[in-house]
Amino acid sequence: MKAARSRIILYLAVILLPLLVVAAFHLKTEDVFYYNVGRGFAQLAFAILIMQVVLAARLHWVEAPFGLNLTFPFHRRMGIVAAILLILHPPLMALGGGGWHLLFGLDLEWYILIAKAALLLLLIHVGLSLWRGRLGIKYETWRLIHDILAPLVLVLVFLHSWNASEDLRVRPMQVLWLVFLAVALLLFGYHRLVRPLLLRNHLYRVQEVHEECPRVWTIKFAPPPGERRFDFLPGQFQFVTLFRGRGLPVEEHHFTISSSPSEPGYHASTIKESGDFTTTIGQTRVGDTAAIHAPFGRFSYVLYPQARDLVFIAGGIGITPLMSSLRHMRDTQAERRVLLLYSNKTESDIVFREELARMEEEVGRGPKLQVVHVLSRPEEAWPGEKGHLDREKLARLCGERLGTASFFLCCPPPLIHSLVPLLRDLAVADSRIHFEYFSL
Amino acid sequence: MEFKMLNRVTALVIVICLAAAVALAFLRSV
Repeated sequence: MKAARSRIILYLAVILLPLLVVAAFHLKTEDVFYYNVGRGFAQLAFAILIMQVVLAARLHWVEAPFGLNLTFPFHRRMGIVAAILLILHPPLMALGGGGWHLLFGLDLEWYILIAKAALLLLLIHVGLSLWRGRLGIKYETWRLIHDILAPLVLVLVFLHSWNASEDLRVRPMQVLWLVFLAVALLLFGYHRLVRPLLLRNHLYRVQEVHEECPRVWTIKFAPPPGERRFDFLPGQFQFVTLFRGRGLPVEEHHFTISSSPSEPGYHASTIKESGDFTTTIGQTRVGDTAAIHAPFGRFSYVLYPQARDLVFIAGGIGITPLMSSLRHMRDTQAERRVLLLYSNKTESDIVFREELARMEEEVGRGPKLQVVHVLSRPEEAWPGEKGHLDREKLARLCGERLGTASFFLCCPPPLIHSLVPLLRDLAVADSRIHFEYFSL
Repeated sequence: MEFKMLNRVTALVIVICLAAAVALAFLRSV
């Protein structure tokens, strides 16, 4: 919590820095209130855009206290905030005496015109990021556009403010602006160009490819020769770029690690064929290589050592981080009481069914596991739970655990959105609910 | 729950930024 607080304070300090420098070195102006508000909004927006690169660069020091599951949504939200501030900037300047010609005219100085272009590009940028799914844009295409637009918008905004702003006539502001831009561009270059090249110098090797059940594959990765596998917590995830040749796509995707860190010499991800890239996952072969950037995420029971009584709720392939946790509990003989509610469509969709059954039967030290399969489209003869996980099922299956257990949910977003309010409704405190979406 | 923290932090950042920008604009204008 201390680390998180310090990062938030630092973030605030950086984005407020332009205003502080202006207050210290260039306070007095002849301009009216609205004009100065517009100016301040633009300066804030530039600092926020700079910090967008810091938030997105997957720097462990930045994201570790929160996890990428929070850092990326925060990045998305602050992108919207910056866009709103920049939308408000020209009307406020116009209202404050700059004239409405600023907004609607085209016979303007070049540095005003590039500001209009920057704002338009930023709006496209934010719009594509918010509605990529609805617009049917592939992740890789969106990412390419993002990689082009982000530095372009930064440079255009920099050029505009450098030439247009009175405040940028002051040396400390000039230094700050140059440092901001340099840091952002260098970090962007590191994140998108240098790091991928460095990771390619330490390629992991595909050690095993195993079909768990129809359209679900476990890929085991061995570290580069002579190197140790990275350390991770059960439940964390990795970014993987597979190099397979044979015309198969080379794209970076994030996958949960389904193996336990207690299993030495390798790690594994269990992946369901569900998108353009993952439909090719079964074509991965032993000996293929992978650039791996890991570990990430805070969806791990070990971060909550006081939680002895656990309820795991998995939807479909959402079992993977929970499986990693159960395997870790088994291997380290962690004494936990675990109820796993595992929701699938049909029996054939159940991943790790036999291993879960074996864990359930194990006696002695280690987790005391109870597995309840819930099928939404079962065969007639299915003897277990049928339908969706609803309030009645949660109340009946969890029983007294509702008052004591910590809940870990890994499901598709719609299921999370329905289950979390139900748990709250059943008096499960927010502090005992932890969840992870499939997608970041 | 973690997302509550995200909401709080986002709201805090927005409020502080807006307040700072408006306060500075006021100081610069008087």
